[in-house]
Amino acid sequence: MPDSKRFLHPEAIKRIARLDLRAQHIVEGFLSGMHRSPYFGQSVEFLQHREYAPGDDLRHVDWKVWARQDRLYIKQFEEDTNMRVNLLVDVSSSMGYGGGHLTKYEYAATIAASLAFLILKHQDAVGCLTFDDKVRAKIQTLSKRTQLNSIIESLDINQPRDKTDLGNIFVQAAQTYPRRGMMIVISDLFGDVAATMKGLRLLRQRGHDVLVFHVMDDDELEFPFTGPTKFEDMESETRLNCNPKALREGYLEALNEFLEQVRHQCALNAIDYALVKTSDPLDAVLAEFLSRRMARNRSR
Amino acid sequence: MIDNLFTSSPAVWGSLIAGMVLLPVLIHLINLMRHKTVKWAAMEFLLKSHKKNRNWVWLKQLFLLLSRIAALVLALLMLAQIGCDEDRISKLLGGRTTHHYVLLDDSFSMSDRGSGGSAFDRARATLSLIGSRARNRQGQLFSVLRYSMARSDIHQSAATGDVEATSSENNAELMGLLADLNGEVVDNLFDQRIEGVKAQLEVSNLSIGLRGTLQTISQLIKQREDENAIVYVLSDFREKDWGNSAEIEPIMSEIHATGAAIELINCATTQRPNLAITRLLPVGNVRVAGTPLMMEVTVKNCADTAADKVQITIGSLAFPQPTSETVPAEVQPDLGEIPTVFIESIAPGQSETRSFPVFFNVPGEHVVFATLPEDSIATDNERWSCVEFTNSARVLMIDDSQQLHSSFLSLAMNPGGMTGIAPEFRTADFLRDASLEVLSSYDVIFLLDVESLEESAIANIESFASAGGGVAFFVGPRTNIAAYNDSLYRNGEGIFPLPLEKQFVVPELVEDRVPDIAPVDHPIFAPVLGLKNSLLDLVQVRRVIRPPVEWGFDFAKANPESPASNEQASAGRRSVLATVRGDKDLPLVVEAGFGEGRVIAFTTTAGPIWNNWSRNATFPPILLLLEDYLAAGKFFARDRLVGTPIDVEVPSDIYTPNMTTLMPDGGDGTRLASKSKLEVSRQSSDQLVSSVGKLIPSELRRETDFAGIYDIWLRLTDSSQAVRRYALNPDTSESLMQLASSEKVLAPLESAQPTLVSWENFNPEPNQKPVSSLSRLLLILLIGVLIVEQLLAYSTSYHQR
Repeated sequence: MPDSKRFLHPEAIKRIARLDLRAQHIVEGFLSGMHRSPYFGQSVEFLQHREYAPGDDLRHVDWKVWARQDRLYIKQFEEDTNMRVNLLVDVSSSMGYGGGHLTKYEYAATIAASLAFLILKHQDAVGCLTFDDKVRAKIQTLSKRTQLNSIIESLDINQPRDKTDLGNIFVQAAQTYPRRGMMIVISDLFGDVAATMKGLRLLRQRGHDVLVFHVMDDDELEFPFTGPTKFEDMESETRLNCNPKALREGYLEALNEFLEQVRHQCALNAIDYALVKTSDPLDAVLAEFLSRRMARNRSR
Repeated sequence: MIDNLFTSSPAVWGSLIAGMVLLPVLIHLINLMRHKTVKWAAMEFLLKSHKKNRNWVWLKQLFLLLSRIAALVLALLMLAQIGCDEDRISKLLGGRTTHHYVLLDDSFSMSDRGSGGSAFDRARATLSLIGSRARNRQGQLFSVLRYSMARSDIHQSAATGDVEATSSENNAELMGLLADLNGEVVDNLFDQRIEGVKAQLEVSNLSIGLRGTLQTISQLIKQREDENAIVYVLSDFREKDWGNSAEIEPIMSEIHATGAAIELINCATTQRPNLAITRLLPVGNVRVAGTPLMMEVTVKNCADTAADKVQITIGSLAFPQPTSETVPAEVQPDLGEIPTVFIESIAPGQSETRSFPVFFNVPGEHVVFATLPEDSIATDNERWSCVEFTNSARVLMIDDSQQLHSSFLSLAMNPGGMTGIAPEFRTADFLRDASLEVLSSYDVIFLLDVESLEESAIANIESFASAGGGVAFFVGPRTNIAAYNDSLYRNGEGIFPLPLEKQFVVPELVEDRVPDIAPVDHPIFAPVLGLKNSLLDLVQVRRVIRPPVEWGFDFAKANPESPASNEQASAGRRSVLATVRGDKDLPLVVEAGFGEGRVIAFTTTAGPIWNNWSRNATFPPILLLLEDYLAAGKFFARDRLVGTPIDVEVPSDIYTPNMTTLMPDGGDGTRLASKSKLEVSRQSSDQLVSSVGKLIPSELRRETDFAGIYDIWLRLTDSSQAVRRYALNPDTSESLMQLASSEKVLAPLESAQPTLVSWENFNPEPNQKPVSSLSRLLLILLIGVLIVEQLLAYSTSYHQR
């Protein structure tokens, strides 16, 4: 059976150099595998009737028409444009690591661009903020067509650099985007967990829906190194000469403790959390986003 | 090369072990230098893990390093074969000069021949293997010494002085004379030399143990402190030599204490059947030309299976009487044929003896020989015996009573002149005046109712008896009892066997008559023993001279249930051979040993005065046996063994110093003759002496090292010639074929730590020997250490998943 989403795998995405094209490719590819009415959500303005097709939500069936004509039609509305999504993308040095086809930074930027493309496609407003220990670029939340280019420009940096200071950044983001909306954090979250969680809690307190895409490389999750190895910290001058295999168990233990802590804190603070690996197909991230979005709409 | 390396100095060993320790450290450090670099984001977690595991990781690394060092050191020890049987030899083969001493058993049991050649052939082959061991190394010396050349008597002959050499120089000089190879440097020409020596090596006719050879070598090794020594013993390891090897243990321990190694190499494979003629001697003592002489041949089965239908071929060599013109080397004896002696079966380890008569027409020193069919050992299948035959057996009868007694005796001894015994009649005065030389021409002297003897006569007859002559006393009415007791008996120290008290009239029996002569089981009564109603029972003894009642003799020896020994009566031993009617107080015939001779006294008369025995038909045969029995001391037969010297001593007024020795027939019918001179004896100037059996340096053997007949030809002052003939036979103790077990050989030698291998398992390269128990342990340890090393290495991430 052919893999219809093979073009969304990181190794395929890597071949597309331009980030806007990459985003378009992902979103189009992603949508082509879904049912035929993905663009139409709930709205106050009626748009048209369409004959029912299997897979359509029964809630959208126009029962009056059915009573008159004994045929099933569903009602279609213009979608809302009041959704405000802000992408907070980590571009610190630690995001520069990549043991596979894409570095964490490349993967995060691709996710951000794809989400922006998708959000703009839904005619929602989208903003973007890139950061390391400081805010590197800040794009206001808008829904105009040129917004995508602005976001892609802010993401397209040469090289990740400097450390991360997530707590401080999230405080700044809360100040930058005062109107309530959805905050999508794309980061490896390396840093002080307590400070990070404090910043995320602040965003929640300001009324934002917060969705965290925790980007990790496969190497970081599995630590597959063997043989004598010197590890050089990407965010400091720390060096370590060691036998990785001897340290693997301890490393994974510390990492899992960190992941568990993050996951637990997110759950406590009603923050949606998704751990994504740089080897995962990118549509999974989009699916995660859409499911969150639909859940949000339902909850209204 | 590697064995040389390992047997070198401690410095080399130290360097090797240091290298083995440093090598893993170096590899470990190099590995650390060859690490890859990874730029890493999640450093925080890695540092946490490192902090937590640092000590344990370091410890595992240390264990890994130690296990690698241990593995290398164990491998090194295994390569060096530490604790292997051959380690001592491996060690000795390196470093200083190594001297290989090969001690070669050339006693005649080594000629044991099977389908694969003899044990000696195998010894020769092993000699080459030992040579190859030496040839593959530097600084090697080689010596070969045969057992037969290291006998103590050879030592004395070879040494320049009379005493055995003890100093270092003399020992080395002695070794130079005796050894087939003496400290030869092993070089490119060594192969040719050893092949030359092997071609000359032959099995001797001797029976020699290892002791002498080992002593010689031991002294040399102790003196040569600057050499390593390896002693090889090539032998057949028979039970007779090695069943109790405790006697050589001290010498071997001395050799071991010098640091030398001892390798015993067994060249015998299996135990094969072997018969040996162990005895060939005359049993009769009347050796007169024209009269048959009984001889006995004894064959021993030296194997562990019975021998059936054994045929012994008997032959005789009758030599002509020498004349003044006789050329010794040209004397040709007449070969006489004697019927083959047949033995139905001989049990394993047992001997069988058979008698047969020999007959020579002419007097002289003749030879009788016996031969067995061919078997595994040829040397013991032949045996020789020299017997001197005279014109007559001279017997002296001293009778002062107008031959009243002697006439009966002479008639009984030589009825019809057929026995060869020639009695001569003399009075007691003859004994007084006769010289010992004159008396020695008689085989037996009979004293027949001699009243008494003068002091000089007593001295002469006692000297005669001491020298092996036989003396028979018959008493009678003329006997002076007091004189006999005082002069001849002398409280047991004189020649007369018993004290006398008085004449005793034997009472006549009317009823319940018992035989007057009650003999015990003794050779002289052989014709009547075991017979019922024998003619001897008819003899009447009417009077005897009885000993005092209190005179106690060991009557048990006269008891018929305890037969007297057939062996020669030993000096001082007295026994009663017959009594009157079994009355222990009335001994009739009493025997005593005196010096080398035998003395028998009759307490009654020889003639028919006090008895009628001389008129009885049993008298002649018993008297002939008596003469034979008494003459045994003079003709005491003894075997001369191969290798023993033949001493010649002759009076200088009769013989000239010229002497010719004829050696045994070498198999081609010719006998080598060698001329030599007799020398004036150091003890007595009127005697000329010589000894045959000196060392022949060019041939590295003694003159008497071959079995067979040796002739000593002497020239008399009147230009006539005399010959003395000797038979030298092998020592048949060497014929015993039983092989000693390894345990029996090695157990008494534990302190010397020799190794015992079969010739076919002899390994010229000791390093290729199977591993010892220690090596096995090292191997197990090495495997264990390697497993631990692999586990540690795996756990410390030096292996890819």
